[in-house]
Amino acid sequence: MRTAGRVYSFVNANSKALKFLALFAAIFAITYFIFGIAPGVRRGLVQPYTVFLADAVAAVLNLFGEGARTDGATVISSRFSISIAMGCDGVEPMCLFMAGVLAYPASWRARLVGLALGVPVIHLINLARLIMLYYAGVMMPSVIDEIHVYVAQTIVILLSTAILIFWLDRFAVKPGRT
Amino acid sequence: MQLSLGGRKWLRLLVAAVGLYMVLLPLWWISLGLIASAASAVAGLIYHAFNPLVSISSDQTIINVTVRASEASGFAGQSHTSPLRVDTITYGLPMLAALVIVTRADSLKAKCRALALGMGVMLAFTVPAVIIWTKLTSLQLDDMIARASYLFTGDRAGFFYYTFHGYAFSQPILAVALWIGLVMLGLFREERAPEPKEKGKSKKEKVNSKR
Repeated sequence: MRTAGRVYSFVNANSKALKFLALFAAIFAITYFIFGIAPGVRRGLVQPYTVFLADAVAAVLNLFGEGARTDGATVISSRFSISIAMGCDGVEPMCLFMAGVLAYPASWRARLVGLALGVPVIHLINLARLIMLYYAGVMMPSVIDEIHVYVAQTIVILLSTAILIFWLDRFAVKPGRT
Repeated sequence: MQLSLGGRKWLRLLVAAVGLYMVLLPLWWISLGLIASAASAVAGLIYHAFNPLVSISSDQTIINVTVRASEASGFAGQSHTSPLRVDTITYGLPMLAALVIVTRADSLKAKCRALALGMGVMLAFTVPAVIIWTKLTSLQLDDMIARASYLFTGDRAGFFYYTFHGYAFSQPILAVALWIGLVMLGLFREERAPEPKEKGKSKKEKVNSKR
């Protein structure tokens, strides 16, 4: 009984935060299902986007004289090659950011500003990550898997979180409201 | 809602989190063996209760899942083993630890409480991850049997793997979601006892009330 009472008072005291967290999880799951799993969207939108990403990576690398070319979503050069697969497309950090923006009780104007500015910035960060990974592969090929999974991915997610907090700080939270 | 991360210092905190994450990575790597044996023991106990044809064991930082075909399938005695690297289902741990450590708290006690709770939840997630991997291995065996029996109708295991992403629902996402939860639920704040009613009254009021 005492535990039930404590749970009830905890839920009561944190109802707004719990509502945000539940919405955050639900929106993340829905957006991740749409952009990350649904076969139609992956084939029709995400896979062509990974081909575009590969072209963009190759274009940037060629600015530095790497002599890179693409084959679908794979960037090939004489020094190193990278394949842009699921998880490298920036979908996860984008879904995280979208979930945070849409779940927070802000005005629709603030949400639209957040999505319009945040989503392209996240994809630019992901593009920078792919270019960095290429050079990491050229310079440290023996640890490229570890850098790919444990370092590059984590840094992109942390930067997406930073953009989300920036949006909350500057656009979403009204003065006098905590 | 509690969103305060220390004013405009949040960007500095996130940069510190990246640095601390790099420092914590070796510690996490050392503890992988222990996590593997604990997660495989708990997941094995749970899964075995529902399906005795499954065995889950750990070998250093790898969890081996073995599924045997049932008598009814007509392939009794056949088995399929799939190894799961524990690092792929726990690499969010050092990230969450780094985020919690750099977040401003009312006291060391509050920070330790948030760290313990976050780590506990994150570690608990390894058990469903192993269970999902076991289900995936089981579906792979089913697909193999169906293929051998010319009953193949689709790649169920492939779709499951796609959903699982191979990296257990992206660990950094889980770490960030948990950290946001800890901040919003006020885990970094000190629990304050309710003030006694008498405390609000002035000396004069107390004297008057005695009269």
